[in-house]
Amino acid sequence: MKKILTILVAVLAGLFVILSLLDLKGDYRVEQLVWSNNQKLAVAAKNQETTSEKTFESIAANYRKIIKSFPNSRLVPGINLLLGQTYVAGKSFDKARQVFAETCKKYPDNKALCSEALVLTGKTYQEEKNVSMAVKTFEQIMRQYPLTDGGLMMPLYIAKYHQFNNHGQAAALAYTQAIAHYKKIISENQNSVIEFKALGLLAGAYSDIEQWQPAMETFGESLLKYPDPRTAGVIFKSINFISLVKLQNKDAAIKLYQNILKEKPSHPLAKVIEKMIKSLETLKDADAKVFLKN
Amino acid sequence: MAKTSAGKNVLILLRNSLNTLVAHPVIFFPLCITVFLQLLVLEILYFAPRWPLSVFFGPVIRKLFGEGFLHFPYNFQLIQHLFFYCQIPLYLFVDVFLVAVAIGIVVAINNDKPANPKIIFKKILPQYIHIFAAALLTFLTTLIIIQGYDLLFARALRIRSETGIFFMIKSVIVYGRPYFGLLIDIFISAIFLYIVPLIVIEKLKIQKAFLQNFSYLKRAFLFTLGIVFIPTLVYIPVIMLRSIVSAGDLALKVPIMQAAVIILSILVKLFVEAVILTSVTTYYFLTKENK
Repeated sequence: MKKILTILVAVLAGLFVILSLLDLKGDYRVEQLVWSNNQKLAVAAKNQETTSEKTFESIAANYRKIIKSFPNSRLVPGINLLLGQTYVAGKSFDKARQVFAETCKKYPDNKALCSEALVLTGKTYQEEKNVSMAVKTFEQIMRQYPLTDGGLMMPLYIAKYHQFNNHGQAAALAYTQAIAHYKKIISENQNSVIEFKALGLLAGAYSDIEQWQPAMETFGESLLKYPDPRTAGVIFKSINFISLVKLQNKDAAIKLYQNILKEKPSHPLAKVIEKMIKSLETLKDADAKVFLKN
Repeated sequence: MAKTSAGKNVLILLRNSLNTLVAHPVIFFPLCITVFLQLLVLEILYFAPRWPLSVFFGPVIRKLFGEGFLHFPYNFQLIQHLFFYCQIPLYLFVDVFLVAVAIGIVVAINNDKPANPKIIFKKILPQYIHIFAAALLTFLTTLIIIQGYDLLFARALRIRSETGIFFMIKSVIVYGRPYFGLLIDIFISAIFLYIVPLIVIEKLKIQKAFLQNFSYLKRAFLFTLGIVFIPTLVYIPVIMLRSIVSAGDLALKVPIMQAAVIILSILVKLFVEAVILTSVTTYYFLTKENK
């Protein structure tokens, strides 16, 4: 009995050792190391003021070590960005920008990565309150990588940035440009995920400048063309919020939903839309007023 | 083996069972094989996202659960679910049979015969189909009751009250879920407790064992419930630990804790199962002798 139990324990231990050794240089190992270092970075970034420069240097050194030990891992490009972000957290902005630039130089074909590196570069200028360089960098992303997530986000981001810094005129101009930019992107990228993303950003831009009717119509267009249950919830909420709270006009949403069903009777979310219409009609019949809860 | 005259005193019976287990660790042997199989499954699940196992498991996990669960540390969240599902066939096809072998060993010890697991295994093997049927019966009953609880759980989630009696009901049902699960397990185990010993000792078929089980239960339901309930209390700290690990950020900060809790629960279950099966077999012999 003891012999058999010893064999069973040996099988478990042996298998564990063999399987661990077989994947010693694999991506899973990299994920473990990166995750562990990310934890340290999160703590250091949270206590930025009290964390010493040495700690950030040590975290950066860990990332460099991972990059050196696993040069062929597909995670290395992303780790380069984490290395840069470590310098950002440690407020060594010049070093951070250098890392981001080197990353893009190393992987020029990886547009998403380069766009992300530039977004992070722009944010370093933002942290330094260097408005002109920040905006210049953000505009560079728009020009060079217009269809990446960063590139798509930038027009609205720039507008929000100006608005946040109370640059009234610049913000108004940036919103007008953003709306025009998204309209162009939508017309050039029909029936694609780019169009879906641009529709969301366009609706966001309209909402920011309180143009509620076009904002609601844009959400409606998105719901009509991209009936994905994973994203529909947010869109329904946005439409109802604009109609009930901002426009105080239940008919606006009812009409929009009815138009969607008219244009696409076989809409995958038809039943939900019908329910929504019924609920709105009930509210309308009761003459209910909807307000934001403070 | 120490034969007690304590009759219906659950605590004395359990203490004697513990003494029996200490004196005859061979009873643990079949249960150790169950533990080995469970740990083997856990080990395979742990390495599933890594090469070479990822060649097979990668596409399956990606298709069924999503890419995220192939990466550290989110794979640990999936391990818990997958391990639960893997336990079902293990329980039905292997676990209960090995419990039956352990009962056979207790029987042999009671009859002062050599407790050779290999011989007992061969002796019980012809009863496999009936033991499997008993396992299936227990499993399906548990499943039906759990489904019923899930309906209650879903209804409780819809309670909007933030104070008062309804809020209390909601809190008890929602936060007490693991404890209700344990109570359901205890109740079902107690209800069918004598079926496997009857199949092993009296060589009965499942139908007869099922009926006789209830005549035993009728005579001593609370006592039977006590045999299952008291040792299972040891499992409560494991449930608490599991709740702490999954509710707090411990699962995120130390992901390996999720696997460690599973290992701990396997080991605690081994102990609980050993005590229950020894107690119920001993009690069965005592009542038979008294007759």
